[in-house]
Amino acid sequence: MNRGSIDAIVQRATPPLRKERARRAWRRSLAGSGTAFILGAGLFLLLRQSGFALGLFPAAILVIGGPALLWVGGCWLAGLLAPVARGEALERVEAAVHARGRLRAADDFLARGPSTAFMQAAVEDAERFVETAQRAPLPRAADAPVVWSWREPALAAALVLLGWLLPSVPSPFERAPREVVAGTDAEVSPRRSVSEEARRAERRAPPETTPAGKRDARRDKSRTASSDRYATDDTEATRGTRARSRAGQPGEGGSASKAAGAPGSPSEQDPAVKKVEKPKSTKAPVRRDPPKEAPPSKPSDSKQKSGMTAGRGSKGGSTRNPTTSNWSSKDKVPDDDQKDLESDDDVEDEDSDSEARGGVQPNLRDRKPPVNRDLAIGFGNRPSPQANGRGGPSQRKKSRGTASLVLGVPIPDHVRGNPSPGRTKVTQERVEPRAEESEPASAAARGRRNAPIGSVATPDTSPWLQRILKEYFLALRADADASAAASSKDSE
Amino acid sequence: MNPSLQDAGAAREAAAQFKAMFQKIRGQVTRAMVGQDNVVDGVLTALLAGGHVLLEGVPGLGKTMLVRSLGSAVDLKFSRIQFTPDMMPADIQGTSVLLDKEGGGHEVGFQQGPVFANLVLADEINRATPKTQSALLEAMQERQVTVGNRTLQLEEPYCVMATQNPVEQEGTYPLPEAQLDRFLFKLIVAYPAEAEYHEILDRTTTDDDIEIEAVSTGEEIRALRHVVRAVPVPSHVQSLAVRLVMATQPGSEYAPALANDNVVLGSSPRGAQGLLLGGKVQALLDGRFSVNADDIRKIAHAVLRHRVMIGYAGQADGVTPDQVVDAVLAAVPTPAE
Repeated sequence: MNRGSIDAIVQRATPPLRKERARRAWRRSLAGSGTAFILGAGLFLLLRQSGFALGLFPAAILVIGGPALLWVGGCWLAGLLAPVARGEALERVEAAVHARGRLRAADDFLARGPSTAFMQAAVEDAERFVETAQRAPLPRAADAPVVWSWREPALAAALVLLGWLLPSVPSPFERAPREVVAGTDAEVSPRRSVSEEARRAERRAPPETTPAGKRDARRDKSRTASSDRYATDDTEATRGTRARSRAGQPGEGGSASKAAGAPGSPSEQDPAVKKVEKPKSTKAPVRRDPPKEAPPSKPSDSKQKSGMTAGRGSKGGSTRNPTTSNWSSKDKVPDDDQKDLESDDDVEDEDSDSEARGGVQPNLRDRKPPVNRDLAIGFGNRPSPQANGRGGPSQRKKSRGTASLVLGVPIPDHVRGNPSPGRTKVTQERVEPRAEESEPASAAARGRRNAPIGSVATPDTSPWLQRILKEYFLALRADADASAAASSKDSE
Repeated sequence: MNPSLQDAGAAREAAAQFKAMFQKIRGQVTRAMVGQDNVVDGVLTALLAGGHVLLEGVPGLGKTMLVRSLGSAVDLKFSRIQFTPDMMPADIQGTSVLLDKEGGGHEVGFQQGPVFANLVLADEINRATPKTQSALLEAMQERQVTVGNRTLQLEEPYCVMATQNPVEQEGTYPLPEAQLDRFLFKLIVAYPAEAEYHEILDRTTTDDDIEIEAVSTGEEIRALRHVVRAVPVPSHVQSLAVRLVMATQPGSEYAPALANDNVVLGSSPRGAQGLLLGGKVQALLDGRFSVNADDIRKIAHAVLRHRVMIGYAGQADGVTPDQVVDAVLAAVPTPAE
């Protein structure tokens, strides 16, 4: 017997084992496919919210056929392609021919070289099983039970349904433009066509009146604003502003301060009006000049005189001192319109941040003095007068942060309170016991019992004691009777 | 390598002799011992594998009789030590005494204790103090006894069979882990079945005396031990034994959750040695010339149960060492490579 015969057995057993593994893998994968359903549904929701219009059928394919199929197929493929160990194949064959480990042992000893008598005997012993093993059919292992739950698919279906219904709920963005385009098809069409109509209207209508156009309008806002700014570029004040701008683009300077641009009271205004006013607010310094310079913007200028200018003012690059403005609008919760505007501003700022800072004062209201990192040595033995205990060779550092929690870090511990009265001194002296007067309690003062005594265990008296007691009391009574009789006779 | 086993034929013959001798001894022991087949097989396996056995069971189940009948069946020198709390090491090892010389005068001579025998029955070993218990340590592991400045070799085959009662724990001294580890097997002697009760009563309440015939000698037992050690172990079976032992150690790669949560001390490498030695005997009894994974799994409880120390949390939860061994056997598959 040589190792080649065992190789043949292994090669024969490997393909069925691979198939069996693949079968087991996909059966097991069914249990996890529920998660794939939910993942697919989540993907569907995500795509739906991102603006992809998906029908129910594609959605079903995406949810059911996509991740679940991918998962089950992947598991099946992994099971099919996983290598079958030689020992595993031999073990399966041994189970079929009842070799009880002889084939594996022989394979091992042949690989090592049968050096002992028992190894040779083991190899010879396995030889009688080899021929059988080459012909015997492999027993099919019991398949793992398919674990399948309808919970996850049902949850996935619910998610798909939710995703299907969710876009039909009109958002605040979509409500306002529908009022603007009153009388159009969008007003009378069913809800589900709102977004499509909006998209269609986006192509037809001017940017100010359609919802999608609004978004476009926002995207083009910077371009519009800059064109407006260029239109009024010739004014004297603007020139002055431009003179302070590093890049010479005064309009973009307005987006430098996000904090100032976010809140405010512009919610009172129509968004359309805002768009018109934005370039004007950019020219806030201009409006502080004589009003003859900017007659068209006068009404809006009077409307947003203080807080509004400050709230949106940075958009216009207000040069008013931020510390003097009341900033009352900061406490207000921005509405959705403003959030959107702000986010749009963020997007616009991304490419112009680095070059459009000039000409705008940063918000210094909450600014704190920077940490002093002065490493200068103090004057002689005295610490530096500028030392604040944070860095450098200054006084003892303040115990702050994690270091104060770590054991072993020396931290001065001061306990406030009154000084201690000192240790208690105990002195002992030997004294002779003295008699004390005490008042004995008289039994008569106890009074009568006013409640039943309850069950009292009767002491067991032995018969002889009972007899003695009986005789004693009878004798006592007899004496008492006799003395009483004698006394009565004497009295008579 | 055993020099007498030169070729496969000799190995086959030695294996056959081993099996026949085992069955003979077993037959004699079971003449006195009713039931308890697992215990009888375990004791014989330990004897032929060269290990010691700890028998645990309530009184009256025939532990002492089993060992005594085994001593009679193999014609070995048998001694019995009834451990008590006031027993001293000299009581089991022996002591130096003043002896009279023939020509007059005296000399100091060594009087051997009961530990000098082939089969030592240490009855109720947990009643002795740790000092006395530890007197057996050297004898069990090193097969020698040191008294004063003299070291005496014990005669092979040497096998200590200790019994302990799991119920009466007051006034006992539980064996330390170091000594428990020296026992190859710990066997649980359970109550007999109903049919076995009848057999026990028939045998013990009549006037019939059961005489056990000596079917083997110490020399033959030594030869059988060599045969056992000649059985080869395939690498995957050895890996299985190693992994089983490692799985009893909390925090190891193969340890199941039950072991991690409840075991404070796992098996030592002696556990792996015991698994292989016991597996070799099982393979020979099964008519094979190499150990397989089933042999190892079959004796895992006897080898590992006294090497697994359950922590307080496990004891409070009622976790037993056998449950841990079950979890270990379920968690460790036979290596495929």
